[in-house]
Formats: sequence, C-alpha cells, structure tokens
Amino acid sequence: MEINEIFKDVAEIIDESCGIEADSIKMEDTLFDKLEIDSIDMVDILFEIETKYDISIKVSDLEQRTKEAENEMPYEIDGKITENGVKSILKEMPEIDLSKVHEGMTIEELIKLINVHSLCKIIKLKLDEAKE
Amino acid sequence: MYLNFNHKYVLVTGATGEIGRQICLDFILEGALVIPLYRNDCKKEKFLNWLKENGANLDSVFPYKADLTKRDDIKSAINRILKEHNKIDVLVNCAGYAVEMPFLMLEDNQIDDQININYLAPMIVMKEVLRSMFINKGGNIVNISSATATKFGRGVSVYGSAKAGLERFTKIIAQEVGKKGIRVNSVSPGVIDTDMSQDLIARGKNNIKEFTALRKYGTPIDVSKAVLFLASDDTAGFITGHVLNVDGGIFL
Repeated sequence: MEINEIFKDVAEIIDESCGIEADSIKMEDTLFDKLEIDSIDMVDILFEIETKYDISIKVSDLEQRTKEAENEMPYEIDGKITENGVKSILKEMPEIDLSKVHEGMTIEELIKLINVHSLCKIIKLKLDEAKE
Repeated sequence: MYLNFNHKYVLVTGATGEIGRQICLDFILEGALVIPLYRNDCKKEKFLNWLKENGANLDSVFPYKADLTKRDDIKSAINRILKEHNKIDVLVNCAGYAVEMPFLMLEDNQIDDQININYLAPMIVMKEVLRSMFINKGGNIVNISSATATKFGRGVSVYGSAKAGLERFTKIIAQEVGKKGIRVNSVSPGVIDTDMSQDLIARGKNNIKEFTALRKYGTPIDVSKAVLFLASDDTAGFITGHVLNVDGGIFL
C-alpha cells in the first residue's frame, strides 16, 4: 500500500475522530501542535487505524524506530536527546521539521514534531512487516 | 419514559450473585442482550434457572466464563465476546469479594484476591471494553461500589479501600472518555439484604436499621433499578462520574 493511499485513510480517520475536515489535513501537519489532537483523540485514532488495517500500533511506536536504529549508543539520557539521538532522528524521521531537532531536546518536544506523514510511515512499516 | 435497551449488549461481571443476577434480569426484561461473566459452572446453571423462573427469555443471555483474578482470562473472554457479538454497549462491573476480618488476620492471598476482584479486574475489563466503545463512538459503564468506600468498613479494610479506589477511578475515567460519548458512573449500595450481608445484618441486630433513614435494608432490585437508570442515555444522558448512593439514607 502506498503512503498516499494511507494518508487518505488517515485523514478520514482524523476527521471522524476529531472533527477536523479531511480535505484540510496536510502530510506535514504536526499531530499535537498544528492539528491540536489531544491524547484521548489520539487513542481513538490509533484504535481506528488498528481496526482498519488489522495491525497493532502505539504512540511509542512513533519514535521507537529511531531508538532501534542507534541501539548501540545512548539515544537519550534522562529524557533528553543525545548527539547520537539527533543523528538517528535526522536519518529515520526526515519528514519532521528537522530545523527544530537539537541535542538536549526532550522526548516530549520530539513527539510534538511528529506529523501526519510520520504516522502514515509507521502504518506502512507495520503493514510491510505483516506481509513478510 | 423508556430506557431504550432494545438489542443493546450488556456485559455484567459477577452475574451469578444476587445483585448481579437481578441486574441481568432487569436488563433482559427491558429488551437488552445480556452477556454475564461467571466463574463457577454450578452457579451458572442455578443463575440461568433463576432467570428463567423470573420470566427471562434465555435466548437473550450469552454467558462467558472468566476468572477475574486472572488478567489473561479476562482479556481472552472479552476478546471472544467482541469477536462473536461485535460490540458491548453497556458494562456493569458488579463482581465483588469481601473477606470480613481484621486486617492483621488476613492471609496474603485474601488481600490479593480482594484487590484483584474489587479493584484491578474492573480496570482490566474497562480497558478491554472501552476500546470497543471508542470504535462504536459511545457506551456506558456502571461500577458497583460499596458504602464502605466512604464510611464504616471496620473488618473490611481491603474491600472498602478497593471500592474507594474504584469510585475514584470511575470519576477519572469519566473525565478521560467523556468527549467520546462514553459515560462512567458508580452505584454505591448500603446494606442490601443478600446472603453476602447476612453476617453483617445478624451482628448489627437492629442498629443498622436505626442508622438508616428509611429504617430498612435495601434489596437487589433497588440496586438494579439505579444501575439501569445510570446505564440508559434516555434517563441519565447528562450524568457521568457520579456515585449514586443506594443506601436508604445511611449517611444522613
């Protein structure tokens, strides 16, 4: 399944769960800042995604893969992203606003940068994994 | 006024107890499809016979077995329910278990079982059921608490404190899921004339009645009517996070 097809589904799910018009949603919109999706709506969206695609997905999945990419080096220390963590993010999450990524930023700050594209990528990854 | 439970799926834990079975019966008589959770096969047969004797159509009853002290058992039962019936519209957490003795005399397993059944199990059941309620964009949960959550309770320290936790949990979850059209409430019975209360009633002689404004014990029907009231969007559609005392005025 291509990322653009997934995006269409995700926009509709966000519309249904949060009342944000699907047509107004863009790939680069951040989930928590731009779209102002709160945690309960996020739970709703993830439930809908899981049901639609028959996959299991968690909020932590959104930043988990960057941790896995640099597992031999510390990704964060005391909740703050390390230099290695920044390298990993630049490599694994090019879709987010990289100008805001810096050493010492918190995990919460990173989560705020996650956008609709990141969510679509995770879904695609899970779907591809399920196929294998 | 109609309660509007026709074709609604109602999951009831602790269904074979005296209060649980009355709740099941009343939902069935209002047109609901009831999914009782039970642990003991003998009690299940007695429960079904009792429902039949009291006018319930057993075609509306879909019993499932689950041990509420085991997390995996609860999850697997609810997964099966959702696979076979697709949704749960109303959840009533009615299972309760009290060991009445001074705290320092309780065995470890008695403490664990009381915490598990009265506090942890409702949380686990709610977590599983809420997922389906989110997908269906609505639902109602009623947790059965106890007057000992807020008053009295000597001799039932673990039970009373677990119920207090459940009441607080009810209110917090009501805040969290309210925007998804899901209501979460609690019914707090006082002294209800059931087998479980006979020791308490015998020990209290007439003192309990003297404390109670209405000068009588409650019945399972009193509790059940309150549950149905809270579970119906037609009667309680703007009520959530509430603890409804059904206690004859024992706190007044």
